[in-house]
Amino acid sequence: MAKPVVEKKYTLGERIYLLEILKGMVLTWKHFVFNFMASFRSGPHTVPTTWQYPEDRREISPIFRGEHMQTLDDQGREKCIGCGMCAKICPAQCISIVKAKVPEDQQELYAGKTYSSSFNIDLLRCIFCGFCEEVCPTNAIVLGQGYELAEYRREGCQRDKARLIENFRLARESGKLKPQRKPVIVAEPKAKPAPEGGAQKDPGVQKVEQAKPKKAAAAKETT
Amino acid sequence: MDDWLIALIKVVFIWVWVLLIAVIMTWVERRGASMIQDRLGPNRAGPFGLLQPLADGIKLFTKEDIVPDKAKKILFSLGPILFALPAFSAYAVVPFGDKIVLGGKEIILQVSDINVGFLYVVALGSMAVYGIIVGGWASNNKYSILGGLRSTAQLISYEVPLGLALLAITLIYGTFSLREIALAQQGTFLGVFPNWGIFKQPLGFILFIVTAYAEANRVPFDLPEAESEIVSGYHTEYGSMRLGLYLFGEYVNLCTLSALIVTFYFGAWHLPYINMAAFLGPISYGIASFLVFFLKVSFFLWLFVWVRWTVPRFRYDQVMGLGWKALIPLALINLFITALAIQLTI
Amino acid sequence: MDIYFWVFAVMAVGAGVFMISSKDPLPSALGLLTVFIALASLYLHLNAPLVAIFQVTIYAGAILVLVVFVIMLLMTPGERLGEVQRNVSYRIMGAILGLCATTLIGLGLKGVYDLVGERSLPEGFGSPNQFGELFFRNFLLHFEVASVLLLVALIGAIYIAKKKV
Repeated sequence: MAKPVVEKKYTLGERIYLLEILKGMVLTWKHFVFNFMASFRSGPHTVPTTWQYPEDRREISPIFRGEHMQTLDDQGREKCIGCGMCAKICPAQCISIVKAKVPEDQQELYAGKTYSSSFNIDLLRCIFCGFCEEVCPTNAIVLGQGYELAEYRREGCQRDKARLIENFRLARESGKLKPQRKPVIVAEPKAKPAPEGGAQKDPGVQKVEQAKPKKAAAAKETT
Repeated sequence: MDDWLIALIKVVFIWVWVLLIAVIMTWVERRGASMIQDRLGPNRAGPFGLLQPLADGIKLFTKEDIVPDKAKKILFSLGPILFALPAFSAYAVVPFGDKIVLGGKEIILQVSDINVGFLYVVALGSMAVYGIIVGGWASNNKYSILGGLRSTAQLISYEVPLGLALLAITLIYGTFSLREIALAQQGTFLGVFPNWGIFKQPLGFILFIVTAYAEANRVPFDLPEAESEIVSGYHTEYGSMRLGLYLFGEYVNLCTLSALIVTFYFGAWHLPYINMAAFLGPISYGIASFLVFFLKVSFFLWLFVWVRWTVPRFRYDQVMGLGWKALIPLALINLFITALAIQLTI
Repeated sequence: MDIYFWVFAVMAVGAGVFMISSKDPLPSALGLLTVFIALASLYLHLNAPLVAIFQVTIYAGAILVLVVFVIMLLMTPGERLGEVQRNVSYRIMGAILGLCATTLIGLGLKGVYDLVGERSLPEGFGSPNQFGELFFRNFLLHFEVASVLLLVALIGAIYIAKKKV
């Protein structure tokens, strides 16, 4: 419904206009004085509406989707089983992954029977959608809080496995890990992770599966 | 030869001083704007961001100097020069202090005290429009031409009330010389007020300050460069130091207009109720008068910034209507009343 | 013959020739601007600062700005004056008018010279005070007649403009 046009009757003072300008100037003066004083105050975030960025960072949400990290479990073992689902779901195709069997002498380093012998993420392609995190059956890949990802060289934007685990260590030390949202399947890893997890009878996998069709639909929409 | 040297020193001094003020004004404008808008503004370069103008200058100097393909090459380079030149020359007649005695020689703190100083200022004010017109025309861009057109119409309209408001001032002081006008504002008037132009010409002051904003193309009359309507008006196609010259000329213009407002209406270098010459030595009096003058000027420079971030822009027809239907009749009435008052009191 | 005069005289004549020969309208107007400023400088040289300032304020600052305004309003930057310049009737008219103007100015100069002759300037010549005295005491009638003439022109212009609307 259209709003009716109301012809406003201006008083003489309003039509002379100078008084109204003076009123406006008083208002801007108040703002100016407040911010002028604030600029002398020490400490970060002295002005209510802006953040003085490098010194003064915003609180970011715990579920923020920033730089990736590879998680370790409580015993310090890698959770990644190298199934490649993240690489498959990734709409930007930024993850490249090589799967390998865990050697006999390195069982204590990996949680599963298989592991990813190489795991690279190209951050220049990544769109930070978080599908890899959603799809991961072991919660091995998680998007963290890091957002200062600018580099001077292209090579600087590649993330290998060591760097991703380092990210996780740093996040754990500063207590910035996300709350767990999915049950973790570490005890009985699948010997052969199929992209369609329909044949599995494991209850944990069942839950993952419930979440999956939605994500697949979303992925279809995006592609 | 001695007089030549003194004149040269005065010219160089006031030129450097005005340049410095214009440079600082770019910083004041940006920080003032941000503080009015609840931000902090550029505070990284140097203490309080004071080196920001230097950084801007380096940026403008080192940028590529692009002349558009279809532009008129000669006119395109001529535009910024034509704009900045009148702005700088107007300072030749502004008295920036009373006088200073150095080595037994009395030096008047004014580059040249010509007896038509007032008209000289008006003449140069009307010349500034050519820089805008030439720049707008030579750019061969529709927004530039619109900016130039608007500026032409606006300057013609506001030249008239500006001149009429100043005529009332000359009626009161009986001279065209800016120094004599400044000297006549000492002491008090009717026993209470300082003998300043604003107390004798309150309406004239309002007229002058409104037209001064229009002459300087400042908000609320910044139609020639209205960003939200015509990109950035006459200097849309300009870049690097040519653009720098336009922006610089604008601030020098502001400086000149503020100095004129102070000279005509705010007692130039006089303090109210205090006669500085009575208790200060000849050298310290000269310096003090200069400082007082520039303190007042800096207030009006700040007022330009303050108003800019308070008031929205007028519509084009409103600007024209205000000029022709309100300011010119008011200026004529003001002139008539002034003449009548002088006729009755003499 | 002093250098000051020659510099600005040559500048004025050169700019005048440029103005009538230029193909583009705006450089032509800028040529006219140069003529005005050169003339103002010559007035300054002749001890008439007030006339010089009026020359700049009124001719360069107001009238020429109006001319430029019309140029900008009615022409596009690429447009040229060739059509107008090639028009023969305009040329003949211009030649006649120019001849008349030159004759008038020559006669006037001769008349002034005969009347005044060469003599030294009086005290305070050319100052605004003396200018005002002469204007509003000795030549008040001439001044008023001129202003009435201008007023008539103004009213006529308004009448013509109104009729078309």
